[in-house]
Amino acid sequence: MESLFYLLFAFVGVLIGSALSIVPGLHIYSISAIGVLFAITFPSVDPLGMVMVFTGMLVAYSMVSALTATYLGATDDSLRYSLFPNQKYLMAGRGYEASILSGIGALGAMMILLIIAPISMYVFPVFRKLATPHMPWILIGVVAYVLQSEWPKDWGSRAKTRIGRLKDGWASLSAGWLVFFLSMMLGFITLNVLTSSLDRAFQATIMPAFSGFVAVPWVLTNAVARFKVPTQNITNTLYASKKDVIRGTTTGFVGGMFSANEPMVSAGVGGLLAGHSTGTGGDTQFMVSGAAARFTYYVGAFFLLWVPLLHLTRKGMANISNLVFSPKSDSEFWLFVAVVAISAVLSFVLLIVLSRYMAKIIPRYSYRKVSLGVLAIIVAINLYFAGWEGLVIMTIATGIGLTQVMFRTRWANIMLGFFFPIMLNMAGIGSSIVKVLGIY
Amino acid sequence: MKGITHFIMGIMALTFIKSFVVGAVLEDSLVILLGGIFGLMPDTLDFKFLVYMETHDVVIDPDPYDMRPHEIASKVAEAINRAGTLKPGKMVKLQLHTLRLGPDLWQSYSLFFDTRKSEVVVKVGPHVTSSGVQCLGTGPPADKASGVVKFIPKLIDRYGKPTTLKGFSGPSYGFLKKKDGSVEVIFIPFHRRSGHSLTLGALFALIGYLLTNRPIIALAIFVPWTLHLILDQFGSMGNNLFWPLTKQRTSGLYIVNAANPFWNAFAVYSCLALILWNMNRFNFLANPMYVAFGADFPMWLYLFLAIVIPWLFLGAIYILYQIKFKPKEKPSEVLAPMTGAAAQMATELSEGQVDYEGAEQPKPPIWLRYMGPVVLGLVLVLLYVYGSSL
Repeated sequence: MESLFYLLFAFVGVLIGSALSIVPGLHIYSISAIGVLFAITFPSVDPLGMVMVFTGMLVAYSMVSALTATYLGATDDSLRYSLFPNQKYLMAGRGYEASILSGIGALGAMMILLIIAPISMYVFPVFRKLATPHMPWILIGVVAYVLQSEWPKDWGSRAKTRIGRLKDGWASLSAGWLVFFLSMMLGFITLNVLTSSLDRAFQATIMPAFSGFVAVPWVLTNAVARFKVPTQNITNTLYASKKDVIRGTTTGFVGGMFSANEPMVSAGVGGLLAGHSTGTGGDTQFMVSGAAARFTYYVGAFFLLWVPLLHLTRKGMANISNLVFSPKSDSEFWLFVAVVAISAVLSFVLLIVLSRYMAKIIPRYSYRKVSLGVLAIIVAINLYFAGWEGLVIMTIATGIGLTQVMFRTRWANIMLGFFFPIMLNMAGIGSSIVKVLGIY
Repeated sequence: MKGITHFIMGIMALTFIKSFVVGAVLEDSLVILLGGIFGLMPDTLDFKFLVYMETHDVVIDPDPYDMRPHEIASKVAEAINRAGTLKPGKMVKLQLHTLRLGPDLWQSYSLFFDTRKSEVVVKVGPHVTSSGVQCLGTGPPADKASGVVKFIPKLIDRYGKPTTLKGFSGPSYGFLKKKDGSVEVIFIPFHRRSGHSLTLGALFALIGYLLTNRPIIALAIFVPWTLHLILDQFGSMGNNLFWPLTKQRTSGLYIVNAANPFWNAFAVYSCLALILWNMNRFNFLANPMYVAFGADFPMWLYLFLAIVIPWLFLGAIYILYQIKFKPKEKPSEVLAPMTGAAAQMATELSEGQVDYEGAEQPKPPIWLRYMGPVVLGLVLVLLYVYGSSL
């Protein structure tokens, strides 16, 4: 009976999370902040019940926000991974199909999470024990691979000379390195020169940076492009093979779980690594794996907090939840697993309903106006949470994000560049670089 | 193999070396990363530098709005015929360009050397996105769909499959005149030559040694580099191992397809399992707190549990899929609103494209092909035996 009570809490969380997910530009960590407000406002509420609300919110966010990715543009890096095909589908009148495929990817990731739950208490503590002292080289290794494995995009250079072709090929590569460098510098500045009080440091620096890197450039390019969204085809049949869905889901899950386990590795980067390892290809696999990676990144990271013998605190929701409640027993773990499963199914149903609604209304409006409206919401949210300083960070980050979009370099360069200073700190060389740069 | 496979394998190799792992635990040393960087370095050199150093005798750059497959096939056949008149060891190099129609739209076409009929076959396909997804209803009219032109010399094509040009950069081909008068097709001739030689690896290792005065750094460069070459040798393309002493790359061992996702995933997973094993072995020496299982845990049992059992299971699924489901598989996606009729059209569109039939490809003798895994195993055994004393 008590468990049913907690399920009700989760259901409330799913509704709140779904509503917040379709607000463009509102990042999960802002939702986490709302979670803290909840905890402070209602101290008398059962802590476990409160965390069940958070769980429902997180599950809903990680699934339903595929709608903003498809119909309105990206809100964060993990959506960026799957966004391009989603938008292509939107322009082909298949936005509904794209959002449902994303939902299926997330649902599939949830099912894999259920399958591994019984063995998670044996497997994950092993990884943690062995890998913890090796974290610096693992993280810097991820950066090294992402930078080294980006191949030139010369679009079939027609230059007559060797130097001409080399120049064409290295245009995108050097832009990629530039984006990484600029993002790293912004990381050094925002993380070392405190732009706000400590309690607001996250909201005031990382959120505006993320908005600038990903959301604003995307919305701006949409606004400039002035394209018209065609009438959307709401279909009851999906044109996707089982092979693509299964491969996409498993790849996304592996990438998401890697990023959930490692600090400072986003779902997009994890998905990229897993995609390379398994040769992911085609739009369906891309969308499904992106959604699976995203779900696993958020929910999987929170899951690690509940795993008996592990209780690993990774990513935003685990940190927020720890302020209210720290899971200890096996029964709490299984309650959490059940809540995730039921919340995911509920979220998927809501995704279908909301996607049908959005598919009907989006083509009726000027996409340019919609994009500008989204931009206004993003600016307002950042101004509210981060103040004017945050808007400055967001503007600088937008410049870096636009460079990435224009040269079609890897977005992962931005995310990894921004967090690179922390990785260098972990390797014990960050402070020396900060001194050389004079940023302290 | 894929870049990530080479990168992880290089790192895996260096985790066999005790001082690197212990150094990482005690001093946050990053030397292990040399394994990844030099594991991927041969491809980095080829695809970021050497590709641009190649010159071409024939450049084919069709008009995407007026595709003439017969004309393309004629130019390719002409290049083959020209190669037939050269002195042995000389090559005619040909570049095919991809055809961009928009930011994410390309005109696809394919090239196939039918060595049995001595024909170059060029087929024009539909418009495709950068990820290769076909756009419905963009296929060519029947009279402009394909072009077939005969060539004169005996042609050897070790790749043996059609190449479809979809997006980004187009491939180049070398037509190499052999001593016996035949012409061999060298796919992307800039690749796996000097950048994939043991000699260049040794040179990098020497530079590493001279810069640091530490022989172990030379080892950290040379071993991952060599593993890259060994892995690449498993495919069809081979390497030019002793450049500049040898001029051409040798044939591959035809053990695996380098782009096969199953084998790449298997290699990455196995490397990760070995990295964890090595972490457990050497973490103990630095800090016993970071050990997951006892030092007396047998390695064979670990390998059996961590690699053999999961991959037997996955392998069985893969084989079942290859035998039972793949032949019945329908095209998974096209870029257009999908209704029942459109889906049917898409199926027909794709089914009509698979009608190539090539001659049996020349492969090395079976004993030589098995040498590949033996050499790889030998390197790993040497690393296991001697790594713990380095």
